Amino acid sequence: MANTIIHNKRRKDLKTSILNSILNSGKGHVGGAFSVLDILMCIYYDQTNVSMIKEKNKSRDRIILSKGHAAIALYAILQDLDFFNKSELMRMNNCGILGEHPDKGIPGIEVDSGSLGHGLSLGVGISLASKLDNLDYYTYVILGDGECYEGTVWEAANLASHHNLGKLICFVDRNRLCIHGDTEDVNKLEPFSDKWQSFGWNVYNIDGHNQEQINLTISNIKNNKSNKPNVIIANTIKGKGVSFMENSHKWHHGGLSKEVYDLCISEIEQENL
Amino acid sequence: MMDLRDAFFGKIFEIIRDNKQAILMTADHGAFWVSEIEKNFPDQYINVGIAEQNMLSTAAGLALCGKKVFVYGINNFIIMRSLEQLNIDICGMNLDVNLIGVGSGFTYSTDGPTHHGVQDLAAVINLPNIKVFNITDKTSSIKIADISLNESGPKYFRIEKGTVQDIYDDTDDFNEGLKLINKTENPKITLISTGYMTQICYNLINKLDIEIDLIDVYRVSPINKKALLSSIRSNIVLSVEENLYSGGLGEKIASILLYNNKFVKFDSVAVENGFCFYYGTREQLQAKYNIDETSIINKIKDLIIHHGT
Repeated sequence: MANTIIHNKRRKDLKTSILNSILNSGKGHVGGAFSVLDILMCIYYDQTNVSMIKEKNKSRDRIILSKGHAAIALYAILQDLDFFNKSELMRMNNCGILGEHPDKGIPGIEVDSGSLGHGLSLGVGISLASKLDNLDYYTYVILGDGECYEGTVWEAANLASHHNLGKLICFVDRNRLCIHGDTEDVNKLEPFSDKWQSFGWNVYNIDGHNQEQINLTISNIKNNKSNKPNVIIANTIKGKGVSFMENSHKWHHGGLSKEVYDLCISEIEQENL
Repeated sequence: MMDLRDAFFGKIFEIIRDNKQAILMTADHGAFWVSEIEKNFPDQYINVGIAEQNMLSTAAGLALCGKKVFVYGINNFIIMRSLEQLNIDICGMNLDVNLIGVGSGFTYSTDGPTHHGVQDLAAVINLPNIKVFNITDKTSSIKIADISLNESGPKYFRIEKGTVQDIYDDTDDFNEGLKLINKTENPKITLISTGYMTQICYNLINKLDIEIDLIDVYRVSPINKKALLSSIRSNIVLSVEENLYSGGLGEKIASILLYNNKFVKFDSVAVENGFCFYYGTREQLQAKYNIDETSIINKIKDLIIHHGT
């Protein structure tokens, strides 16, 4: 219970940081940031040794945000964990170190991303290296569900399975929306779990906003020590926590007026009360 | 005489044998030495199947963890098909991935335009950080392969197969990026060529009663501009390549000449833009596109007649 209270407070603070940054910079990917935030929080705050990432220890867990457009969620966490000065978040898109997609030059970021369909292949290479070097780290890759239209995702999925990359944990932020609407209307992804399963992956279908469930799933994966790569299909809500943004593809990307910002803040204050 | 591909891969075999961090990846593309590496060092060999885009990003992931990665395949598939993966994941992050491509120019002459390597050079020389090499002879094969060991960062080696005459010797160090390999007393024309075409040019200069300088550009990107400009000593310059005109060596040289106020009569021998649906030997396709020895000789004579002093 204490953990839940801490997480709820932290989630509210991070969402506020995200909104502040987007208000200030004039634009941002708010919808996807709010859908992926709980996943990133669990990885960074509960599952990984952040100081090893800061030291660039070769045994550190690697975290790849393949859906790079949700970078603002990652930036909010990294500034909270003191990877870089908190003022950078307010300088996003304004000649600071942060832009709308992450790059390797930003403290805490492992790879450049922004073009979809690259992250899982990169993660497969990184996870293969851990096997070759007998290192114990986990490789986390966070995909968007719309990203799974990219053919390279499935090329990588096949290779991961062939090489028994059991320490590869892939999240799919399954908010069911891409820019022009529901994934099932655009080009259906279902039966999504079956596809991953048929590629030889362990598949977990969970509530992507229930941090207890996210952490429990990752812990189970770590305890199971399966040789199969793992995909966690995290069912999420785009724009989670703000009623008029939720499940609306219109909030994929854009700016915030002060009026909309105030409404968002008041709703976030109420979330999880 | 040693086959050029064997010469290059013999060196790569040694690098992989001596360096456990070195890995060879293929997209199901074989060669004698690839099989030898697979057989002798199975932990350092990864065949991803026919999935070049995934191969390049996976190579980047391995390189991010300190591996020296070699990627082997046909030029068009490891470059043209995978251009975004190469651009963003390998060149953008400046990783130690060494692409070894076969199929330059009309090597795969009967396989049609899907396999003709006449566009990849133009595509790759505009990417950040990557160094691009063309192999000229046995010595250059071995010594340029050595560069993959001694330098980090992305590199692309366009290798050749078959046996050719030696132009370079052990005293050449291949640091300059190019070399004036035929230097005359009073050159009337300077040929600038690369890779396979350097062999053709080297053979034809003795067939003409004209003083011809020949520069071999074995590192096509970045071109050593200073060395190039100082090596040109004639008022006529002809570039010779087995790539499309657009964006290839000739256009690169022309821009270097212009930007540096080096006013010469410049012309180029290259492949006419378009897809080639003509099937025959490499020599037959070169003749079809006027880039064979006879065409180059005619072009030289024409330039001398109209612009020689």
